Amino acid sequence: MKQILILLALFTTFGAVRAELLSVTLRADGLTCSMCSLSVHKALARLDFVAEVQPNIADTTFTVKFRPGQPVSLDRVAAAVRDAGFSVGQLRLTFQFDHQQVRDDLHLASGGLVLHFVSTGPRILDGPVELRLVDRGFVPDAEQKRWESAIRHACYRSGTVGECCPAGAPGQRVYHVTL
Amino acid sequence: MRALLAIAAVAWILAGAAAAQELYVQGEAASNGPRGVWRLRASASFAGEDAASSLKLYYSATQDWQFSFAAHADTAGDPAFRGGGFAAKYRFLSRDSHQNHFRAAVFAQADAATGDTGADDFLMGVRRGGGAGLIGTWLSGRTAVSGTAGYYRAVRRDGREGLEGNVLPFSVSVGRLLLPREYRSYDQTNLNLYFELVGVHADGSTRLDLAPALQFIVRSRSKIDLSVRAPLAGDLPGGTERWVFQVAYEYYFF
Repeated sequence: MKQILILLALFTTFGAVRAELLSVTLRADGLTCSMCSLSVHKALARLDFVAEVQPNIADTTFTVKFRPGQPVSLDRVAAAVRDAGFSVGQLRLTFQFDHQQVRDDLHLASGGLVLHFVSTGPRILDGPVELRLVDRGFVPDAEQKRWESAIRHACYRSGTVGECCPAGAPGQRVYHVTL
Repeated sequence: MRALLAIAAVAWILAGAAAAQELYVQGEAASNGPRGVWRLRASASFAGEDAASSLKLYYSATQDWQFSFAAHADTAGDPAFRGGGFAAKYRFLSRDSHQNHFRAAVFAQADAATGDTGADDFLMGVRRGGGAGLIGTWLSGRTAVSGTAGYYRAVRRDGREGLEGNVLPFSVSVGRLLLPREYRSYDQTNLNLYFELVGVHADGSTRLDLAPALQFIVRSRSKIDLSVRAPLAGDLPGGTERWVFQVAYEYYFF
């Protein structure tokens, strides 16, 4: 009975989720050489939920694929890049969507991640679609400040589900994404 | 010859300001190695009939803290231990953007030596005393420029030749990634070219050396440095006009 109630609660808060996380592509900033890229690669590959890292050394970008069934932490992905000595300049999540309706302020839970859509007009997403993460630590500082002034929700500053969020458990990590 | 070297150095630095590499041969960049990774550097130096070797071990405990340990030996005849040191570096500023960064760090070091610690020895890292300093490093694409300024309190052994009292070491380093033109894999050998000005000011006199170097990065895990350090100016105790040739190998234990 309890499980049914939890399921019911999830459906009422997030709606029927039609999205699956396929991969993450991030750009590491502050480096040029292949030795530095290898440092980032090794740090990402050491994460327990990472299955594969595909580098593009020329662009200092890395596509990360995940182990099935393992919860993914984007904060740990960013921390791995920082441990290597650099920072995340851009991070894109590639989701497989199945006729998923999205709009501004929609909260969506998929693959253990709670996503909060910002600056997004009403659309229906189908097939593989890239979402760009706009939280602190995933965009350059100057861009992050622009988002901070554009997004008035307290959850953007705290990074966790707050009173401003229509869904999710208080204190739960929430990532802000846009198309 | 000295004038030509000086002009080449200035021209290079000016060119660098308009133009990657900060894995310097003589100087130390503000950046640290990856967290939890050890690095071992072995170097051999030759000047006339003299020969010396150094081993240096680096460890980055966090993204901001790096520690290093050094040991030096005279290897002209039977190897003789000449001294060693410990240094800690803290990166306190990091501004990153795409293939660019500006970083700043402070460092402190303490050294011990068994014999002479003159100007030549000091520039080789054979010192007695302790000091601290500041490093600023700017990376832009394929070029990196770095400057270091410090203070060192040198202690001379009784009956030995050496620097004593207040010493101001400094360096300006410029590095450029020449090859590969385009990155495709970690296995491509990288070629970096460096020009470094390293110096020390003490007792109202300044010793200044120019140190060009070629660096090969092999499989993105190890470095081979070939360098020469040529004195440009200075008449500090223990300083000679000999050119110092150095070969070094460094491995990253990822």
